[in-house]
Amino acid sequence: MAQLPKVDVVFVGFGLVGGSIANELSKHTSLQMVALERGPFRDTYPDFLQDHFDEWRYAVQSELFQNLARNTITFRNNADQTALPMREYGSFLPGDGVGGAMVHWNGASWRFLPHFFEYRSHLENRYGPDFLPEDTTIQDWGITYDELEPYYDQYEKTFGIAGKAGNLRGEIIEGGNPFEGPRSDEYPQPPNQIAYGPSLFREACEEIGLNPFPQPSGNSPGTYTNPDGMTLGACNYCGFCERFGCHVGAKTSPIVMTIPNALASGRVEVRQFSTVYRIDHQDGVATGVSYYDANGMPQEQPADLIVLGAWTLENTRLMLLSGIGEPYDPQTGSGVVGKNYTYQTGGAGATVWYTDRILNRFMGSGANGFAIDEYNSDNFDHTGLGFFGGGNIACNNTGARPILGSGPLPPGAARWGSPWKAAVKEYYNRSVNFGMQGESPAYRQHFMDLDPTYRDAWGDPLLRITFNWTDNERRMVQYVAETALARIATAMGGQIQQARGVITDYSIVPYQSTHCQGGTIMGADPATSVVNKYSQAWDVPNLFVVGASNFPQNAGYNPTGTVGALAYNTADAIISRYLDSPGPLA
Amino acid sequence: MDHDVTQSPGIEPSEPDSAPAEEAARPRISNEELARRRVNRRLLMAASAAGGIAVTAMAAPGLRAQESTPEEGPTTPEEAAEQVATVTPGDAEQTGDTGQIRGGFQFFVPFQAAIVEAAAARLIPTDDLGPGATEAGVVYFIDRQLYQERTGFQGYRGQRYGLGPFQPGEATQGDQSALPLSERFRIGILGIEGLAQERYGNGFVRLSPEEQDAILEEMDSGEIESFGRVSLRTSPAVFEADESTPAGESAITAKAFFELLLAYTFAGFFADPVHGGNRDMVGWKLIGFPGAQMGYGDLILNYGVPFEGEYRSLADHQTAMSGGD
Repeated sequence: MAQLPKVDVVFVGFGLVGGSIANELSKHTSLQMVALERGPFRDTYPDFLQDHFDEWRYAVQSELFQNLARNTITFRNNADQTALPMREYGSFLPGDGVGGAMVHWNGASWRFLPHFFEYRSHLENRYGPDFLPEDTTIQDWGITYDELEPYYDQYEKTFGIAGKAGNLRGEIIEGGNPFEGPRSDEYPQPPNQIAYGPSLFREACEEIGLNPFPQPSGNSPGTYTNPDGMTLGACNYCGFCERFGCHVGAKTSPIVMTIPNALASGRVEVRQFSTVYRIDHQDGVATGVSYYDANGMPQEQPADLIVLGAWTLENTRLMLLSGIGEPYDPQTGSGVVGKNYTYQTGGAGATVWYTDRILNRFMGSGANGFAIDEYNSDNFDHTGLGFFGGGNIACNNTGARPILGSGPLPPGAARWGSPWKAAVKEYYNRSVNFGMQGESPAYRQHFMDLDPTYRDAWGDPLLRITFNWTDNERRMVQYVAETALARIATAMGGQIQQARGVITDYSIVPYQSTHCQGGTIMGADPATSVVNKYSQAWDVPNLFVVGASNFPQNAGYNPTGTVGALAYNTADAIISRYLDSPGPLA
Repeated sequence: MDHDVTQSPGIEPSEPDSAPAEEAARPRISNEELARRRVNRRLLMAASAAGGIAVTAMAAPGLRAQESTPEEGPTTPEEAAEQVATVTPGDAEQTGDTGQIRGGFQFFVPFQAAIVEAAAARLIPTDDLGPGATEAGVVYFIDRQLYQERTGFQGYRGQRYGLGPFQPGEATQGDQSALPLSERFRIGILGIEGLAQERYGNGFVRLSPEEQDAILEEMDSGEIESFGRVSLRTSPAVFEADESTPAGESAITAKAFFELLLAYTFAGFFADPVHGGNRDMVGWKLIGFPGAQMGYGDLILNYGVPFEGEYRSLADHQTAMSGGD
């Protein structure tokens, strides 16, 4: 194996985490950096400008996602089952290539609620020590919203997030989310122009006394230049966001806002098609990483500092493969790596069909809509409800591409033949969908470890996920569907309404959400967490493991905004503290 | 797209399919005669499925007629092969009751293509609402996908994980079969044909639309036990229902193949025309999806106002992007 010349910093994966930290280090230090990215660098021009309107290639045939032929996960609902490989997508769609999954995201960009960072303490204080289910392993993050707020702000300004503040330095602002934590500043951009369907949702919510506000969005309403001089284009609402790159550089992402600036420093090298398979370490110090290069040949890249930002699943797998941290054992509850795998609870949704108007569902953007937060997390009283948690309810016009988005059709519609044809012609452009993005609590029996049987293309074990819904989520989904969604649907009018609120067992088969969390969770105690509040590995201080893998449990929001905040939190910790005195920061 | 996985590679003893009454009433024929007819049947089906000259020469409708009037069909494999050779997929002007064959196929043979095209035409019919799967060229879209799949282990969602061991799991764990997509179609197409022969004593492409719908509905219902043989004792394209041709095992169920066919038919109707289907954007025009528009700008605020712009394909977009008009 070739040993390459040592560098100061190596990034494993080059998306939101790696791109943000590399960009900050390039501005504030003279460090030499190498980024190892398993996929290619696809850019706005020429890649997306000239090709992105291809639903079959990108959305269905998975052009921008991890290549499952080389590496996938195995899955089972519980430890009594034999986990089997996810041979085909799929519940979630991990990204592949420079910019990571943020290249193909929709653009919904949230901050988590303040109480969510101290969730166990908050719930036990409010409802008593016996309130939580016995098997839940939710825990406090070891960092507070107030500590993270400056980094949310830095992330939002770097990426040009659009929205309307609901809480500015403690003052509740009309038109924003009244439940959000205090913001030090307004969003850097005003809200998008929002499509017809979501506007009907907003009117209905207002009519029944709820507080709808514009969905915080990474789809740029105008041209925007960030503090580094990087410019976002203006969104023209073409309706091809999620699963696609943006053809006009208007959907914010690392390939538009951070990575080009980092590369301009001349001190960052990106190696495409480079798949890291071990973090090399000795006596509690990481010495570098081993990776397969573009030809599949092993290479060894020594470095002083390592930033692992390869998304939840590979962050966790690389820690396990490298033998860093104690693997989690669900029998005893000991160990930490792989603990608290969480997802995003779907299943509470509603559709309204209008026969008296068309809605131009194909015009839109990934985060083009309105949301309400009355039913999220602990924003409502859970006394006597039999569950904890909730979720954000949003209505977005993401663009109805026809292969995957010709429906939904009204209940009872034919699935094929002339009756189907009549139904799809009638209803394609007449439906409005909305639903809850539900919180996903952590449980003792839900975790990730290395699969005993299945291997990747190079012979390393696949990551194994053991996960299911529990009665807590089943009750949560049913409650929100009945209490909120059905009521909103009725208020929206329309000729046909449907609210759905039943979940049974989690399935890896239908697409639900690309929000996978946990495995290298954050905390104040090394016995119950993998990283400290700076995302620094407790056991290896020159290794930072950053991403949604740090979430001890997942909120009822999209995770990207919080991943961005954690990345800037880490960047600042490295620049302001670690480089002066390398070693444990907490 | 669930489907069952057959674990045991061996031939399980199974009851012969119950023969239609008409079939059972026929007098027994010699093995030699049976073998001769099988050869004829296989070749002729390929010819008739191509929808051209052979059909006319055989005095359609097809195989049943051929059996009762053997003098009208070829009597040797060589003769049959000659007739097949006169039917080429490129004969754009030739029309049969399977529709026009408008271009060559990369993966399918015409026999397979005709069955897929006929089935797709029932899933998305040509009717008073306008063009259907046939006009969209769905069969060409599917054909291209299946040919491309030959270079890798690919499914509807793209590259698949193809390493073993293979074993069936829970529905929540997804498709676990080792069978490539193109082979699922190969087996599934024969499954449709076998079902048509069993129920109606005729090839699928020769059935009336109502009979074809009945076959598809039966597949969709999930109640068919035996479908698409893997274990063979005769040539796979022989659909005689007698005790010497047991149903064999299913590697893909009728329901699973129905779902696969439906998914690919929809994709071929709605995917950008660059992939071979959705010709003239007929799928998009049915529902009013305008295609590869650079964007809608302020139109997004024109609530309820129909979009009046031209439909636009990826080829239109790429032409514009590469300096053309």
